[in-house]
Amino acid sequence: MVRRFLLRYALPFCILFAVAALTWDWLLREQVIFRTETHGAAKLNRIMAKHPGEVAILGSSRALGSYIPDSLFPSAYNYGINGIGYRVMDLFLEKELQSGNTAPILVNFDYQMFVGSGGDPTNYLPFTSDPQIWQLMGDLGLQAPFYRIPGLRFYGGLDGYMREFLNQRMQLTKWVTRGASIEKNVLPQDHFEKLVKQRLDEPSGWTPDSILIGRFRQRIQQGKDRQWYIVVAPYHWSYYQSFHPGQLVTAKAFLHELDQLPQVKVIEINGATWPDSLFANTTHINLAGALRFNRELRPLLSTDDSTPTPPAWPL
Amino acid sequence: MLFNSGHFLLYMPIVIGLYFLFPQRFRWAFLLAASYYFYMCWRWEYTILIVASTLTDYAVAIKIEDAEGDVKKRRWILVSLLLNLSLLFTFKYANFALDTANHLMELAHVGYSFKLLEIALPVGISFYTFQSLAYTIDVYRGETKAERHLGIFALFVVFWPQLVAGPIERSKHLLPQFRKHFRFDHERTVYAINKIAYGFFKKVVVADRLAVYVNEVYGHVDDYSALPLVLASVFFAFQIYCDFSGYTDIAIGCAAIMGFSLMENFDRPYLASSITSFWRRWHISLSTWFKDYVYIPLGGNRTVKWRWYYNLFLTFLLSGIWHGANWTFVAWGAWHGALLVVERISEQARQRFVSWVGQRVGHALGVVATFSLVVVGWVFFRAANMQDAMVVFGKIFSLQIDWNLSMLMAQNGPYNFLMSVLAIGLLLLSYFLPKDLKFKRNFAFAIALTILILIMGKGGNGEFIYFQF
Repeated sequence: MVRRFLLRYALPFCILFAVAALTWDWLLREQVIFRTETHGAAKLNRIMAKHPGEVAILGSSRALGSYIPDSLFPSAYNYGINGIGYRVMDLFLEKELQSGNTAPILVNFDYQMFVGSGGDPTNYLPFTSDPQIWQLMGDLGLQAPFYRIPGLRFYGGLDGYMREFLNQRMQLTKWVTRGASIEKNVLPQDHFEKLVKQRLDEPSGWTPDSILIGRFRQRIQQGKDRQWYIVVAPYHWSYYQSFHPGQLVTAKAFLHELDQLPQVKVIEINGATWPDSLFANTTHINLAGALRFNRELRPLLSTDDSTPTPPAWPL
Repeated sequence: MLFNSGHFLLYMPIVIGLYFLFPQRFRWAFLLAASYYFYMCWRWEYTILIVASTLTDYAVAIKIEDAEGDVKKRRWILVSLLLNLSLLFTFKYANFALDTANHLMELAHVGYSFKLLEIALPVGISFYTFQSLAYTIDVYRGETKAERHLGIFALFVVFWPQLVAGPIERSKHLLPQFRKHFRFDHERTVYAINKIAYGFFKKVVVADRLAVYVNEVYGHVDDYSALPLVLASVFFAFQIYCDFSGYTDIAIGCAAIMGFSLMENFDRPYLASSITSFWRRWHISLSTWFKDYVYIPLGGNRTVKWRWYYNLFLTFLLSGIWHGANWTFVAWGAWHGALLVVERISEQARQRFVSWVGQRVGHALGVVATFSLVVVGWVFFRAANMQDAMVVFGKIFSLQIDWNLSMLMAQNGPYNFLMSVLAIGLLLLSYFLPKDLKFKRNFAFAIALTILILIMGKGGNGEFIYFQF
């Protein structure tokens, strides 16, 4: 009976399932993930290839939702990824500095960026056979045994990929352009006021991991032949107000220290006087805010006049 | 250990494989050890409670059987009732009672409040205490003989497939099976795999998907208008059904591979055309438990009308309380109790209506009406507290509608919303399958479901809802 079950059911079942799972793995990876420019996995795949002359715009969701690459540089790409901190950004910087590129590097600066968060594990699933990526996932606490098994690794991850994939194609709620994904919707005022109240009740601070800050300094030294732009995209006034005052001074001092380096230019576009209508929430701007931000940022970057100006609103 | 976890996916084949390798006379011991291990994966210290309940009821049942005279038997059954209900009360209801008392004292301006106990709810306590209690009551009534083998009885209480969320088995049905010799059977195993696959499909493809929408809306009821609240309530109806029946299917399937037959706990409840019929199809093991050990001892329907209605209402009120230590569960139980009473009172009027509109139309209207009334009850069940439930009802019945697309999608985007609707569609499609899940092409069914689970399954090890009871 057992032999009959194993030969006539279990074995064929396992073989068929393995074939289906590997086919699904390939389909999802090649036809969906790597064709979704706004997803972290596609960006990680892209940074590993060479793109000479292209300015890499790096950062978290604040980079993803703020920078319109074509309005800032003749050739640029937005590598912003939701939820990541400097530990992941460091990998991107490493790849970018190894590429032989000489174009500037733009790093979006967040006051909470020097933390070890890695965002969604789906950012890394196509690369779990790469020892460096697997180590990174371990450092970020994102490993699970089945992530290393082709066919099974994407279990539970379809949502994250399909959401970005459909977003890019339909652009119902976000405007997508060269890696950027910018929020189109404007929150109702009463909802926004709730977010502001929550922000004021939950203070923010500057508590960077010293190892990560040290690594950042090293990367800047490593790329001393390249122009570095360290840009602080706008925050809502409530964010500044919720900040521990002493810590904000320390953070600004760090930025000032970086600005003294010959290869670095620090730019902060302060959103404290901006109206609520330019924000998606208290730390991210929406499309209207992004258009204003890019218009204000562009003249502060050393870029030639052939770069098109950001489009007017509405699109 | 959750059924939808990697740990369980390793545990199950190992235990089942070793079970068949053990000689028959030692299988009970192996299963007992495996079941205690299963339970201890949550919090090992709570095993003490289940052991205490097991030892007490084992001894009590033997004492009852050996006792001469009703008085002595009654004393022993009271011991079992006292222990099991005390355990349940202490770990499940004590803080609720203390909290309610504190609120009442605050209202009465009494300047004293009780300190709440710092205890966690032991997983499965509502299930195994009721299962064990049913056994001692059956022995007391003379309906079953006391089990003299401590190991076999312990296994009956702690049998791992049905330990944490039922079905609540009767001793007459399950105990004798532990003495039978089961060989590995190809047909039975194929059926069991279908059952397990179907259970996982319901849990990770349907229930966990719907939970995304439901949790967002019910977690912020003040922010959402009538339409998302109605949608969330309907989604919750399917979520809780798939979550609970999915668990049961996995439990039945796992037991079936080893040869054990567990009772079916659900019979397509949302196809019921009356509340009475609904309760013959929903959580059958619990509703029959309350019928046999509460409703009938109270007198059932063999009494004057007002008393009959009172028995019905009280039974369902207690059933609501069984579900959880919150006034929302009391309200849910009371709602169903009231509906059943109204159904009894209006029986003739409803029959006249059905004859007038025709059997088919009458049945269809009955299904729609029953589903709607059940969804109203689920609002209580899902709401965090009575205030939230009232907010939900207030917005729905005052037709507070807001057409903001983002809020309609519960701020999770159209993809999640469409997948939720697709999941319900797939579930309804599965209703065309044979109820016993025995097909000509079993292989194709299992493969199709497994691939669907791989592609559409929500990761994240979502806990089963009924584990909190």
